[in-house]
Amino acid sequence: MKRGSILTECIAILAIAAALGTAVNVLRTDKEQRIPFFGKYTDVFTPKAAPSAPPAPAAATVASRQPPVAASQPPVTIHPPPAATTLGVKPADPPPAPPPPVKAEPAGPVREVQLDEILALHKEEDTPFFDARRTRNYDQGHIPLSQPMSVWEQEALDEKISNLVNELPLDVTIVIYCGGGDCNDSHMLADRLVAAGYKDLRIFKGGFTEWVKKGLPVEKDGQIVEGPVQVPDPGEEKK
Amino acid sequence: MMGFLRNAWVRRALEATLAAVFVYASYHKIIDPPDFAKQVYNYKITPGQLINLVAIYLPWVELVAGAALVLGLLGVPGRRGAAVLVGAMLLVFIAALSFNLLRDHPVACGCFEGSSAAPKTREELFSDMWETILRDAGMLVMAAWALWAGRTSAGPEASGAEAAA
Repeated sequence: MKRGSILTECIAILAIAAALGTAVNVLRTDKEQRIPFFGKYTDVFTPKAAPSAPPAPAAATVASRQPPVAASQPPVTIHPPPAATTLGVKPADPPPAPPPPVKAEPAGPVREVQLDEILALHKEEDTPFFDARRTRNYDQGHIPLSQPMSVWEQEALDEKISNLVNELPLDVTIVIYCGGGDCNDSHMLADRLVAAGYKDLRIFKGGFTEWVKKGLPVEKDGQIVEGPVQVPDPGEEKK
Repeated sequence: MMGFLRNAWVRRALEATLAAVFVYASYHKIIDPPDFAKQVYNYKITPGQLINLVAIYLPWVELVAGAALVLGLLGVPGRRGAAVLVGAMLLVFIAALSFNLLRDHPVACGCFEGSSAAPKTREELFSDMWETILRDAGMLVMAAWALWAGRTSAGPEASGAEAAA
């Protein structure tokens, strides 16, 4: 058999695979399984930080996800006002050392927050919660009142974001969570929502795994199940 | 020794093994493309625009190449092209895993199971990556062997006659 015929065979196999792949993806009726041919993924080439890195402080702003203008701004430092002095009068005691300057968090649309803040937001029932995990994971159990919005089911996601922009004001606070641990789905969804114009996105860093571990109630099939709950696949990746 | 290496039955066994592995590997990826897209994304190698193209088409190349190897056992032409494609895919898989090992980025292989598989520690993932590279290297040798053993024959009948001779 000659080299030319091997090449012909390779081309034939690739052509059949391309035809089947295209046909099956176009004909899929389940939007959760159909993906657009060209993805809209962000932060593609940056590997996850090694776990030995120091943990981010509570409610830290996600610096790497700031828009370029915000990221280039130096952190704002607020100095306390100078203490009032009386002219000509020497104070009996040396003035106390000024407290260290308070560093204000730079404003940004995306923030990672901890469980206590999430619980406070969850009490306000008008704060929307979005579950960025796969819909099948959501179906196995999720934070009560949250909605599925998997960043991987892009065909369905485009439609959901389009509807969301029509229904929800852009300045509303939105909570996003995924499996916790190394899960990056929340950040990816946050990027999509920032691109859609949303300005206040809080990412629950511990994710559904922490929610379950704390024994908080879980919603499944429309029923609220009081914790602690056994969930088959919280979507966590161990460190 | 050369007779064994070029034995048609040995070559068929190699091709059947590769076919089974690749058809099986394609299954979960075809069933759930978003899951495979997530796994491709986790490698942090493919540009964002191209991730879905890889997730849509790569499993079908695996399946059709595997099927061509099976059909080749029945005398249908295409097995040598399939062996070349299988080898090329294995080279890409080895390169992708090696690159991530070099930059200390643990990644689940995504070869035979979806992202919902049991979570693993960083050390377990690195260990799996080494195992997968060795396994892929072994299959690469098998593909090259099958290609080389069948290079003078057009089909299994010819190879069988050649081996019998």
